[in-house]
Amino acid sequence: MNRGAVVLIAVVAACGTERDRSVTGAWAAGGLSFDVAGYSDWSAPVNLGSVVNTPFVDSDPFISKDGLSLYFVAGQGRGGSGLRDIWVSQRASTDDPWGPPRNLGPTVNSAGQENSPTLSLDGHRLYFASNRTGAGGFGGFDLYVSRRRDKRDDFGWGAPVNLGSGVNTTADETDPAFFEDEATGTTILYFVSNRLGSDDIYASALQPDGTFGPVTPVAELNTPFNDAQPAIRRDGLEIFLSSDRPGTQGASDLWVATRASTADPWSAPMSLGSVVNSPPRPPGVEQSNDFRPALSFDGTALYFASALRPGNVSGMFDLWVTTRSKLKGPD
Amino acid sequence: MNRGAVVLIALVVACGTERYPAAPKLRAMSFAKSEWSEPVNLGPVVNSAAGEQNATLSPDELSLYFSSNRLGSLDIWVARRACIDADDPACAWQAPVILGPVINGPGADFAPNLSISIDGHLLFFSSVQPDGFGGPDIYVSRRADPNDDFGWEPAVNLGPDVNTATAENAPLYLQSAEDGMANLYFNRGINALQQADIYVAAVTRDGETRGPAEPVSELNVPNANDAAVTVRVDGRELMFWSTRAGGLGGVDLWVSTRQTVHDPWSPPVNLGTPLNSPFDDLTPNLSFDGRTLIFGSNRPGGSGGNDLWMSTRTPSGKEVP
Repeated sequence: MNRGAVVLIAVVAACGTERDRSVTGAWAAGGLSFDVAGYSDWSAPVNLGSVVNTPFVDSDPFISKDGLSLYFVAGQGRGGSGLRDIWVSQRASTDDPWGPPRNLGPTVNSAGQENSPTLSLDGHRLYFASNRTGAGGFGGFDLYVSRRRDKRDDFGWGAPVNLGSGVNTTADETDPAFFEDEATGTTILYFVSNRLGSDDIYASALQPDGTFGPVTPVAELNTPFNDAQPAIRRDGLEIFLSSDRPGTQGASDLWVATRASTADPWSAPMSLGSVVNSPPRPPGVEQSNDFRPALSFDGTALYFASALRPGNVSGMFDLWVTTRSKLKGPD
Repeated sequence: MNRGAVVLIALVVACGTERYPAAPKLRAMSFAKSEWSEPVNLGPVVNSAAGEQNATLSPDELSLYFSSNRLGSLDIWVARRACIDADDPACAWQAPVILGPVINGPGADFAPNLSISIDGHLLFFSSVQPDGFGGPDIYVSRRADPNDDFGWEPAVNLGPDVNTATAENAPLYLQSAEDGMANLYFNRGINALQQADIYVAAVTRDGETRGPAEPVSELNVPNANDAAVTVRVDGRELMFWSTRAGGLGGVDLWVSTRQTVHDPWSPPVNLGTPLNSPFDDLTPNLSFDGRTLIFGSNRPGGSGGNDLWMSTRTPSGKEVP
């Protein structure tokens, strides 16, 4: 894993081999049954402000289904028990400002690093990555899950459990994201591993016994570069990722891929463009990062982290949000 | 609960009815030089702004079963018509009717397939049930009266020869034209992971499995969905949809043939235009006489989502009367 490192990339023209199709309301056998309306373009991102963002690293956002809890990762300087901890900020309504972030505490956070927090749709499970030491780890970062009984209690998480050798390896596993297909009852875990060298996106289906099935790379989304941090829309037809692939402005950008139905392969990822992604910096200096997209449940808000972006509170990663509106679809 | 393991249904096989031909002729059909017509949308009486696909036409072509999510969840619907002359307004499809709670449960129910070439007593379909093996499983329902589209009995899970913890979809039942034995084609694997592969299991003429399903390896490629088989009644032509490379964009329809039912299937060939488009073209269904293909597509010109489209062909060497 090579997060936030200085990366200078010679831009090579991407090969446009994949079709570029707009999202329609299609579904397919074993696929889903949502009507998929279009969305407007993304707005100019807004910094979440100095209550959430500190002069230190603030990254890896995840927005809860109700939009009232913002999980993220903060670095040393904010406090906590390690180099990176999971924190949560809350708000009373989606119109209220975010409150002061609080550390999830030592049940979840270890003396090592935690990153990429992700909630299950039912709100009872918190998945994240950690390189904690001790029994149960497989090496590097592994995926863990913690459970809570009360889905409104952001500080009620139980002891984390390693997801096991079906998913975790001696390499790094990070960035869990879930697609819960309501039409077929299938739950798919997307995650990132550098088991073959660079970061790639993998997928595994949740089995009826609660374990995860065979792990397969999501070939359409991966390149020889680092492809990471997937965030999938709840209908399964749009997926965001960060990548430093050719075409990136800076060290890493946010990209998006779509598909007409859950049975289709993903389209070739397209950059979210210069409105969302940080502007390029002068050659020879450290380049900006746009990192870890997190989509709201309704698909209209995209939280992410940016480093070295004009408007940042810190010299490191800050949390930002961009929004879009849902266009009326066909009746 | 173990649906399907312990259920034994006393089935009264009806004597041959005029509606369901007792057995196809052994003679192979020939469509070698025929071409598929430009597909026609089945129209707004059948298609809705939501999705329609997975059609199956009864052998007499008077009943059309299909999947639709027009009420929100995936359910199985049936449309009827009085006669089959496409040019006669009196033969138009009537408004579809949902099959009702015996077939459509609270989970997704889709991909209906009527038993063809036996007697129309069996309906196979995919369903997501809490007591299944995980993901969509294949179920079978039986009816005593093959002319009663609403006489279906509670469905039975086909059991572990077919169903597993992963997804099983799109059953296709076919009785062999040669020995009367029956096969059930379906696809296994999660579509969203590009895992779906085509399998076949031997089944009795009452729809019970006779052994574990096996992949039809000559039809499958890795890292792509290969799904929703339809087989011509003489067992010599097979179509399915695939996300493999070499298509026209989106999901495409592919065809494979064989000289006899004892041969492997030929390497699949893309069906090309006009059946395929840059959009999704999927879930093909060949009519009993092999002349009509109904499939799902989200190509322009429909009512929204996937619609049912129809194309026809004439046997080689014959003209349209």
